[in-house]
Amino acid sequence: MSGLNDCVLIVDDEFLIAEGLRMQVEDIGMVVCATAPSADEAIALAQAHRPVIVLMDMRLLGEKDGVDASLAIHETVGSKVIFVTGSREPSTIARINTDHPAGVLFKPVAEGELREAIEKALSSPQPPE
Amino acid sequence: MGLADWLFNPSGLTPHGFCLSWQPGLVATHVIADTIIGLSYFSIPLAIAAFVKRRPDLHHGWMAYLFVGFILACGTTHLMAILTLWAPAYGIEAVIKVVTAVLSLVTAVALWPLVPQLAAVPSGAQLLALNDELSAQVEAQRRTAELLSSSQAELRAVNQDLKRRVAERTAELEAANARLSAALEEQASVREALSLSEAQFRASFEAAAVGKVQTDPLDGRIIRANNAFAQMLGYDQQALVGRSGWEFTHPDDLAGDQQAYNAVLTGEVGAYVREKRYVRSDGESVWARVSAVVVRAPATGAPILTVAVIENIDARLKAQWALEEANRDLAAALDQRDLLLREVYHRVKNNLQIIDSLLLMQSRRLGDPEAREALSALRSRVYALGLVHHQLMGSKDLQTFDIGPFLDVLSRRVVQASGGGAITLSVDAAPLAVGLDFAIPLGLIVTELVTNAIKHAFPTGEGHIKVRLQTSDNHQVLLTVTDNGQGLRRDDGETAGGSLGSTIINGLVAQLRGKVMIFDNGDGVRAEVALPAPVRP
Repeated sequence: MSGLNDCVLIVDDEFLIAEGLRMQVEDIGMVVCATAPSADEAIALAQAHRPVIVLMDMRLLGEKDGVDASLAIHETVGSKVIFVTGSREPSTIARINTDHPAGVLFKPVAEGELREAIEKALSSPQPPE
Repeated sequence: MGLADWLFNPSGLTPHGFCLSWQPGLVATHVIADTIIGLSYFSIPLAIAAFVKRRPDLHHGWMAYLFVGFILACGTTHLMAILTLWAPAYGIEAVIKVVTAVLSLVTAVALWPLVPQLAAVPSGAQLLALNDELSAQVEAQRRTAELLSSSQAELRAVNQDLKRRVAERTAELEAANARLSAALEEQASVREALSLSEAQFRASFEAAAVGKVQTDPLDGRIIRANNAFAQMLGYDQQALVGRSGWEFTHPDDLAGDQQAYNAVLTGEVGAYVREKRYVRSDGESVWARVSAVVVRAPATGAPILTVAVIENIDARLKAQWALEEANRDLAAALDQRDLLLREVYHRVKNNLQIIDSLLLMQSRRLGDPEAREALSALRSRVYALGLVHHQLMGSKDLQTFDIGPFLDVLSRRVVQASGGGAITLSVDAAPLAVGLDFAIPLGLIVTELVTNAIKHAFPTGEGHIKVRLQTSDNHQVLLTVTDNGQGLRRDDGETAGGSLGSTIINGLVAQLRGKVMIFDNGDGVRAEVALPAPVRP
């Protein structure tokens, strides 16, 4: 996908978690363009920054969840979305899988796990529409 | 002159030829004639004698011998006549003539009295005729005998046929008789069986623990009801007779029941089976399971009788409903519990992620590499706790999970977190279901042992770590973490007693009532942790 910036958007309603993820991303050597606590803000920020990667929590502030935000971002921007979720409910997993996720990580995320997922997402081709 | 001379001395006498003057013709004629006569007279008596000899049955055969003697004597006289032509033996001739005369006389005298007797002897022709007649008679007799014998054979055949038919008829009669006896016997035993089965039916009808009712198939009127049914409805047994079974059916069930019963009555359905309510005499309703069949006339198929068995299922049904309701409540409670547990696990994981972030943030502010390393080790321990909750959340009962996949992911993440790209790992775990109380200490022990191996075994940054978990029949679990590194070193002494890692390992092994042993066998270190297997929750 052309026109994407080499940066990462972090979507999580918990400040400390978003901050911890930001540090891990920076340790990899990437730039965090923004963090968002809700789906609507995430969509707006993604459209503004056009990040190549989005780290997406499932439970967000507001009505919409991570999959809603991810679908919108996938449609309008084309970023690769890696879900970072505390849940492993079958219904949640099924919902995530409707959205061609570039990866799914479960909290707590181990050191190195995030690096592995981002590298894999960047090297993989764009999933077919 | 003597007699001999008189007989044989012819002297003085003249031969007879002299009387004939020796005329040759006369002499020859005499000779020839006398010869023929003499010879013939010799031949005839021979023939007569031969004849008589052959026919000993002749009457008066002695007469024939008289003829033989007399003719022979005559023949001799003729031969003597030839002799006397030349020799004058007239004495001998006279003797012979005397003999002949005597014989002739005797014969002549004897013959006359015989004439009537001989005449009485039947002639050959008479005998032949007689014979013919006799033959005819014999033949007639033979024919008669034949006829008699053939008619006797016919008679015998007829007689035999008659005997056979009599025997056949007798056998038929006997068989018919046997059949009749058997039929009579069978009828008697059927009658006996019938009365027995009637008695049995009455007993089973009356004594049955389930309700039994016989009704008129068309108007539903009760013909007979047993005690169990009467008690079920709270009525006297006799009070039910004559009333319609439908009277006692709960109004809400009546329409459906009648529809189902009519389907049986018309033959659409073979049997009526319904769970329905009756209304008791006290107004309470009672649930029953009713099975009914319609008995029909064999010839016309017309309904004769309806036979119903009514089982009181009130208590059972109500217990079943209560159980179902309790089950539903329980299932709802379980669902609620599961929901809460998942929420708790979710929140624990989220909080651990927050702790991880805090550790990371703190680590950023530290300049001391040792302090940063300590915080990194803390993050590994936090991760182990998070992974246990993650496994629990994915398990079916939310309480136990298989240790194998957990150990595999945990060990790999510890190696990965250390940044040790050249360190390889193999994990081999037997299937073992574990809960939170076992998995958290074990997860932390494995984290410490693998971290230790990474930290101390491989100065070159290359090596292999083997994590293995075995179970035995005597409920023991053996965890081994083996490396192929440089072995224990003096300057690593802190790991033996003083370090945080050692404290954690020793403390948690003791908590699990196990033992830990460290072996340095020259080509690496092997840590063995023997634990009692977890008790299933």
